[in-house]
Amino acid sequence: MDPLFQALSLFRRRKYEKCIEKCTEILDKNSYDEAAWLLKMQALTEQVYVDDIENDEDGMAEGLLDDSAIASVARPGTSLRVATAGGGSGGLQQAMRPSTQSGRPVTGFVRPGTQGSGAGSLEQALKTPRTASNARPVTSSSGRLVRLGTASMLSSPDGPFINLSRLNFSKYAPKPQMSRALFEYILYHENDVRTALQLAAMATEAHQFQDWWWKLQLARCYYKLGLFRDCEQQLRSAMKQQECLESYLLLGKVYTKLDQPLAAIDNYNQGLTKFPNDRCLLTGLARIQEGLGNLEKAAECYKDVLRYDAMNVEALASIATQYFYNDQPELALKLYRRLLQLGLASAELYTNLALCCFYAQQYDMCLTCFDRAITVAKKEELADVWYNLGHVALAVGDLSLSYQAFRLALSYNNDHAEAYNNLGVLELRRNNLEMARSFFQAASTLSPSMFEPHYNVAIMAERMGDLQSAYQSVNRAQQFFPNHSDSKDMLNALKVHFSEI
Amino acid sequence: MSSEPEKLKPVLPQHGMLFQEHVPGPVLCKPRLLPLKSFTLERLETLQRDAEDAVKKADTEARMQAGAVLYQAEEDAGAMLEAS
Repeated sequence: MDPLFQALSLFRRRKYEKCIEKCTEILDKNSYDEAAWLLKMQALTEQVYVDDIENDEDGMAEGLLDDSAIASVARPGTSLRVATAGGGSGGLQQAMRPSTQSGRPVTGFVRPGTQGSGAGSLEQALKTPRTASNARPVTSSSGRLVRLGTASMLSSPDGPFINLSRLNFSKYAPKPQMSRALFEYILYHENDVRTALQLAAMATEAHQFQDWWWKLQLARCYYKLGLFRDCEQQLRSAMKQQECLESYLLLGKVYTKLDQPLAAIDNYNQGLTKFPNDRCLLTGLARIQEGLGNLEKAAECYKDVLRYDAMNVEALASIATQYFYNDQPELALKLYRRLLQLGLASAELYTNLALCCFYAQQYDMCLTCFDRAITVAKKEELADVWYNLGHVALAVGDLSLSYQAFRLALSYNNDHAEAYNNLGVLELRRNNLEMARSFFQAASTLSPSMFEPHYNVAIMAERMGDLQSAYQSVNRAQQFFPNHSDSKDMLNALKVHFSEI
Repeated sequence: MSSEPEKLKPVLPQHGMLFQEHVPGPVLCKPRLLPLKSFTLERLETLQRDAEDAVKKADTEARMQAGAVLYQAEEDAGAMLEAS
């Protein structure tokens, strides 16, 4: 059989390793075989290709030293940067829905960009990446993708496949097939954005600025380099020639980076007039609403997504989370069961199923699901599984089991602020006041936006008669959750007391 | 009987004492639903794991080879000593 045909067939069957081997053989025989060269390049790209519309990891430096946001003090409801655990409108959400370490309400779905976003202060940002569970690169340009690129180079014994510095780009730029594959190879496999940009610029010029695909790629490079205004310009220009879904999605991301959620919403809506009911655009809309803290609206958008794509995991999970924290665990259970039917058997899903079963009073399935979750879970997920199991034990009344469960959660992840707080409450019940105090202290330093440890310290201090520190702590609790009625009551009682003295 | 349905009268206890007491207690943090991972995130993680494994494997192989060379050299030295 013709080796090139065999290699092509391997490529089509996604057996990239073997395809690369075949191509290498052909190239060893004749190193000027352009077809084999092209195929090898494409196979190498496909091996490490990650959809970069979905993948934007925010580095620490981008989060902190970022000056691309237009308004430094944005009006309420117009910025994605403000932590909105309180729902912005001062709802009672915090009493129901836990928040992430950066003070945002937990979401049902986690994407590369949402892992460590929203660190407000330098201290917080420096503290967050130290945990094993959400390690964050210093900058996104030195992030996971570059590490992937260098690792793939290390594993090939005789150096990189193409020596980019010795390539004559002006020779390749006018050839449409060659230049596109080469561009993708440089961008995705080598992660060399500057060189890719150089090639894209030459190719655009070679096509007399008439090729929208190259403009889109230019925009992609600008986005990766952090030149958002240039990126926007290229995208607008590309859109004029060809309405393309990708350009709307990329433009939405640009506006998100510039912290202009309303412009992003406009852009998605505009896209929806051209591509009606498109799932990606609707998802983008939902994400923006979620970022703004409009969880109700986000759920509506996700429901729209489900109407057109009933298997969308992100939409299902987000709606399920919304139902669960709105006190409808039965509906959440239904959605999570649907996800299980779709073949998604992860530790997270089993834990969520267990929690939903427990709160929907289907006790028979609850512990079985936890069992499954513990067997499936990786080490970094076990902490949360045990934490939730501790809750179930607590509700059943098995205090010693719950104590052990929270302890186990801490042994897997010793930055688990919620587990610290709950252990503190248990210690308080046992009258170990010093232990309880140190647990609360640990919880509040680990996750400063939580109100629970402050309120608990206040209760403890009030019981001991230390009214001054009770006042201080309850004030702090009020600061993080202004609508908490118990702390309001306590504050009023203390004020009355102080005025009587 | 009138055509209108009879209205139920609310029963309010007129005498006796009604106690309502609310003792504020410590608050627990809420149970936490775990977010599911997106496909892209999982692919990134597997890619990274594969890359790390490949590097580790290459590393151990190199070390094994170095060890074998060292062992050979030691044996040679031993043989030379014995011969001398």
